[in-house]
Amino acid sequence: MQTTAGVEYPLPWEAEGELYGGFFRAMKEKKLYARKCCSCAAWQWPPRPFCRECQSTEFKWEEVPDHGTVYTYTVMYRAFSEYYTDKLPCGVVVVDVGPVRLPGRFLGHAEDIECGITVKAEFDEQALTGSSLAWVAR
Amino acid sequence: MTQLKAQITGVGETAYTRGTDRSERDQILDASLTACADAGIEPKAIDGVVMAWKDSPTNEDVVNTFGIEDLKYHAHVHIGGASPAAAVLQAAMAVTTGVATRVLVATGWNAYSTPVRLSSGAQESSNVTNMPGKEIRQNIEYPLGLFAPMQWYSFHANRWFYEYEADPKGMETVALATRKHANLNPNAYMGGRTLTSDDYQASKYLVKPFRLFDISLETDGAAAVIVSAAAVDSESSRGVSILSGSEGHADAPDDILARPDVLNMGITKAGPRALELAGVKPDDFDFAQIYDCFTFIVLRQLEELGFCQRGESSDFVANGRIELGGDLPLNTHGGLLSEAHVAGMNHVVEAVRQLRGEAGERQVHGAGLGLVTGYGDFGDGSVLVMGR
Ligand SMILES: [Zn+2]
Repeated sequence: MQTTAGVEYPLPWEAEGELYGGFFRAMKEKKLYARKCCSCAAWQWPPRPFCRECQSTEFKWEEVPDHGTVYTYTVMYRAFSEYYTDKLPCGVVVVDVGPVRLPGRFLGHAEDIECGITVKAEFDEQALTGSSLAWVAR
Repeated sequence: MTQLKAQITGVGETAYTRGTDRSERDQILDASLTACADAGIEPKAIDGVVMAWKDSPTNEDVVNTFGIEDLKYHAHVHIGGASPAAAVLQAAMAVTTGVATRVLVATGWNAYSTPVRLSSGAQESSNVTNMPGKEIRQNIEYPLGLFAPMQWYSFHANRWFYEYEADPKGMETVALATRKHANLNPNAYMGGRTLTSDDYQASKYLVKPFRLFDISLETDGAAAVIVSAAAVDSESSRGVSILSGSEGHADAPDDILARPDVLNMGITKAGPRALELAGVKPDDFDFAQIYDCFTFIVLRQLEELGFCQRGESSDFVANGRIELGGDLPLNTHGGLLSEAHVAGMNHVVEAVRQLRGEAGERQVHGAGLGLVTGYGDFGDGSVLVMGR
């Protein structure tokens, strides 16, 4: 947790690390990046040290679409960490953007979420502070 | 494939409670001593130990407690609730090959008497340990508020409902049937409490699609079994045979959210393997003890094991089929939902009791072939086929 503009957002542990740094830096600039293997061009998400297709350790960050369809989701009526206790019910959607699937908070009525709906990335304050990605129905 | 030559010759459990002043280590050692007594052996006759999930007690603790003079084998299994059945398979392989002769398999969980329960709203990312895929948890999931198994499993459940138009009624059927069984089990934590359809329907959603009664108990307790070479303790006429076992792992085994097909899980691979190794079909089983951290995952395992097609399990479990007296009595002890959450070690114990004909009021008449599954972490699976 860290305080930004008076609000505590839960932060990733390694926002500047080799595995996740490229994703979180891009998110703060309103872009979605995922890892791509330099050797075999396979996309990789979530980031891992080795490519599972060719075992290479060389990766580059490439932009992926900022919209897609909801593959699956959850709706929480109980919060498991303090930050979300006053935000219930809240939803998390897993979005298929083509090359990879990216999870994020669903902005809007959580109970409206269904698999298959189309969503677009929304770079709200929590995303721009480097906490987590968000999606809205479009 | 070499046939396993292994029997379970002893079982032990602690009382299942909410509240204990005993450590997990002491509970597990206590259940282990009970298992030795049940097998009719001196504790020091144990020469192998497989820790199923929990790392305490260590094998050294077991040596010092039992007075073992020559420990020949030990292992740790770390696949959450899939660990006990997988650990029994390891023990069975150890005694089949002659590496050891009598192997203790034990685990336990003070899930209630713990500083931060899994159901608690006060999770801290620094508290969550002993999980695979730490970077995924710490960088993606924790900031999204994803900490608890009921959240991770809901991603699987909600896709299943969408893709196969599965009927959620089956979840209630599993909750009610297993509670009825627990009501016949004196050691079940929910032994004295009935559960009606009205109770179920009135219970709150914690995470869609899981109501309170779709989620396993938080209890304190431990359980253990002794796996012996088929030849040595054959004086124990109560030994039951381990006919086959298997384990399996989901694609992207530490990450449900990015898994190519979230419905493919460890049991998808392990289930058919164990049945083929034993030369049996789903119809052959007299009962099944299916890992039930959630009601829905029981339904999904029945589908992947081949009892019915994907999306059809709610029909399969209807009309009393999984109750005592039905074609496939399921979780006759009450399971994790209504007996206790001992990471599924209690499912192995119950299978032994049924095959021995010692299950009392909840005995499956003429039980000769039983199925046990384990399910853990982010979709690891394990299966045992057991017979008289
Ligand atoms: Zn590659």
